[in-house]
Amino acid sequence: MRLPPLTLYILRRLAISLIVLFGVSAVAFSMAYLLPSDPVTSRYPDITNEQRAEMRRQMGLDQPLVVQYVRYMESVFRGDFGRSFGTGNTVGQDLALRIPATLELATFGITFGVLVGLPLGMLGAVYRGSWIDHLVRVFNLAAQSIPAFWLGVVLIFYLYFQLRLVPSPIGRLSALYTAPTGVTGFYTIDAVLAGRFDVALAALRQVMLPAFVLGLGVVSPIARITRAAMSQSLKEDYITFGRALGLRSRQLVLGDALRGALVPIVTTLGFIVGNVLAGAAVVETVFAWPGLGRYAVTAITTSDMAPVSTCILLIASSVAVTNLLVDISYAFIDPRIRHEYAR
Amino acid sequence: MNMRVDPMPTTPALPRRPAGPTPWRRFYYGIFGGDALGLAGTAMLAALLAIAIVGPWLVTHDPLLTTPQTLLPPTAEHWLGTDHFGRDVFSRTITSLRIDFIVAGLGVSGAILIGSLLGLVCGYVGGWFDDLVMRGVDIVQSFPLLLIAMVLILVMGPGLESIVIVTVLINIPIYARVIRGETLSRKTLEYIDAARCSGASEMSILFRHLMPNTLSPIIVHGSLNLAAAVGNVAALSFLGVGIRPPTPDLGVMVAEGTNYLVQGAWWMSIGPGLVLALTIFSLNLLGDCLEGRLDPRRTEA
Amino acid sequence: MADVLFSIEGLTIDSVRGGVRRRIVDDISLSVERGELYGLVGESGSGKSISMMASVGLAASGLEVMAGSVAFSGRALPARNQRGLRGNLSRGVSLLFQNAKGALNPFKTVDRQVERALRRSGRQTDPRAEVEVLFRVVGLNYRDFRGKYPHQISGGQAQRVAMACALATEPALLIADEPTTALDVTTERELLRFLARLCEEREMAIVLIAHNLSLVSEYCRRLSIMHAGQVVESGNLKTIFADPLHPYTRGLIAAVPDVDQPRELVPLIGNVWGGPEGIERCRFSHRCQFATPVCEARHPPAIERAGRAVHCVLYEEVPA
Repeated sequence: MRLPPLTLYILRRLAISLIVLFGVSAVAFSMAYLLPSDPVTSRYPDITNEQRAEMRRQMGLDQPLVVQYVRYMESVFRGDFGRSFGTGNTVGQDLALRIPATLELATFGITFGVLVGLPLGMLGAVYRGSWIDHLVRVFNLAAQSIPAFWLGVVLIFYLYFQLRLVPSPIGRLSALYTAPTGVTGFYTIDAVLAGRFDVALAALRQVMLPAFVLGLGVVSPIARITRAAMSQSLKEDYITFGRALGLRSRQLVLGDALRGALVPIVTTLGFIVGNVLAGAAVVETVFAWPGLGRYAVTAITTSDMAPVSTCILLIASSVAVTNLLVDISYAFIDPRIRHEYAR
Repeated sequence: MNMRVDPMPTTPALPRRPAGPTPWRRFYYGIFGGDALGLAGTAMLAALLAIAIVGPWLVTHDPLLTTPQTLLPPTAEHWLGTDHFGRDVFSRTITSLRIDFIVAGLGVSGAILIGSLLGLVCGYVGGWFDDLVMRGVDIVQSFPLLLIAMVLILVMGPGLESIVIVTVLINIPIYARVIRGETLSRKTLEYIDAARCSGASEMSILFRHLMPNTLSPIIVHGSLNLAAAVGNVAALSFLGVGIRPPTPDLGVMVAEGTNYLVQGAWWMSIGPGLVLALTIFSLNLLGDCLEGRLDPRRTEA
Repeated sequence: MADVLFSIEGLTIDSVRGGVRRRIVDDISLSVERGELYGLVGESGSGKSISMMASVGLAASGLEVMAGSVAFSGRALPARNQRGLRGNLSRGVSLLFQNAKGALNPFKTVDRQVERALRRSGRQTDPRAEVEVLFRVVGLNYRDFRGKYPHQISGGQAQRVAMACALATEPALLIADEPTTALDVTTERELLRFLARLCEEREMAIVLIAHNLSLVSEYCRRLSIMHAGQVVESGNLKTIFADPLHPYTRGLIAAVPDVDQPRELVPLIGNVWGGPEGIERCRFSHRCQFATPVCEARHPPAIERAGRAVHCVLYEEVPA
């Protein structure tokens, strides 16, 4: 059987990613292993030495690193990713609750960032060198420069403590409502699917502020790459030729030039996904958002080995998958790359 | 052929003739390319650096001295108020700025030193060494660096040295990659062949002919990277694994301030955060301006 | 002049870069009659493309149109009004570029690009059939090119597709900016012959921009010669070749090899932009063996002589 070239390409890339991820898991686990402070002592400070040794033996903490790593990898293939000392659950169970929270936050944040950054970058490119361009540039650099945790604190202070415009920044849904259950794990979408529009609205109001803070960090890279790539593509001969044919400027800018700039923009978007997943830790901490980032931070500061290595492995895998998706998307954007892959 | 020589030719002046390059114009266009924002960023950075340097003589109070006057709003005595231990927020902010500059600056300098050297050797030597280092760089860059930084700092034990070392480690890949690319694209150029023909040793080619040309990408990435590093050090401290109290740090101060927002003590977070944002902003302005100036791919047509 | 379709009057363009202002097109004028093939010749960087692009409202960024006016089909506009001039592009002016492959959108199939140009021109009766006709006009088989992307065809084919796009708007004037530079010699001949035929059959005027004087001489009736942003001489091709007046034109013609009358070729010495900046002068003066102090001081207006216009103090009347 002959597979289509693009499928072959994807399979080859997946195989390489899998090997790299094995390496990542080993490094991540070793680092988690090296974390100081003993999970047993920190949780049960008053036990005797014999009791402690017994507990460590039960948990398998007395085994050498390699054995513990192999045990951990077994649990990865079982799908439960080991047990968290902190929550007492398997990491798989913990993550099932937290991944949707982070995904919902990240989706809203990235969507916001792209919806603002893309037009800003296009404005900068079209009005290159004018005061509009300079204004966009200052805004971008400012958005990039404001530390997310500080912006979160400032916004909480003014919009919640002073003006009471937003609900209290504790988690995904205020205690007045029961969380909707549904397939997506996105409270906003699940609530709409269940017909509870009041809950959906409450969840939306809750996610708005953290998503804004997270998304503001996305605006600048998207706007910068869009400006650079669009300036380049607007200079291409085919745009001038389109103008020479009397085609409408709007069509040329929004259609032809944007299409020409899409490959670098999508590449940047790929980088951003990884950054957002790791950067969510800060925003989630500020807004008490029960997501992956906050889980990872707690696990790291309490030396909780299985969650630490799983979180690192998980984010690295999503970066790998995103990169693959980005590469595949090139084939759909640019026929030249499509024919290159097909070779 | 009719020849005519006009003894006094009338020469109407060109409208809006280019002005001669005055020293100011030469400075402004030569260094900043006529970019007012770059100039503004540099001025701001210079001011912040000056404040950081003369900080110890500028502070009005001992930044570590606890007093019973806790959570005072800004007054003539305490310009940015006092915190929950009665320490002067203004003095702590200035001291923090100094510490954060030193930590991030040392970290980025170390990364530049090691990363550029790695990149230079990788690009010049190539082969298995290049492959090995670059795959390592790939793996490091596929990690969530903020989380890795947290883990590493905890493994090494808290302290300023750990933060500096971690900053060096997570930023090495940037320079290794950039300088390797730069070296690769230059080592086949004619002037390198010319140097080799005139009997220059490999070492001399590497350090006298290739390295100086990698300076401008280093400067561009360095200033943007320093902006990111200042932010990251503060973010780590905010998350509780960077600089530890009572050592003053902008991230720690913002974090401590969050606990007292309920009581309306906004001054604990606002001032330090603003200084932090301005520092990062000035570095980004400078880096963005230099990027436009020094990156040949971005020159205007 | 009988039936002027397109004319440029006193076009002047500055470039502004890094706070430095340079005059790159200095007071040029030319007029093109309906249905003629007009040549615009000059060395690379002499400002010929820049002037023609600005005359249709496509001045590149960083350029500033200072003065001049452009008339098309009896409608004159100041050249500063670039947006207004772009309007001519949907009223019968079309362009061809040097780099035809770059002029085609790499993300769209060539047939869809021709179809889009057709739609824009408003002739929508049966676009598919019209596209086929256009492909036939430019000598391509529609069926071979349907669904092909620009990177899959050759440079000559791309230039023909670009021409199909340009012809879709049924232009009265086609400005061809060195359309054959990227092509090999045989394809070049073919394309130029094709342009000349279009000119005759369709009553379409063509401005052929070229740096190669001998190339233009085979197809044009009239031409202008540019040097460093100034028109130095313009008029009938035959007259100019028989008796070039401007020292630059003489230099150019002396550099053209002639199979019938072999002679020693004389190269032109010096650089187009080598002279001093920022003063009003004849910009050929630094390369001219006849240069006088007057040439350093001013550039003379068009002097009508021997059936053409020449810009050179050598031909100014001695005052009584």
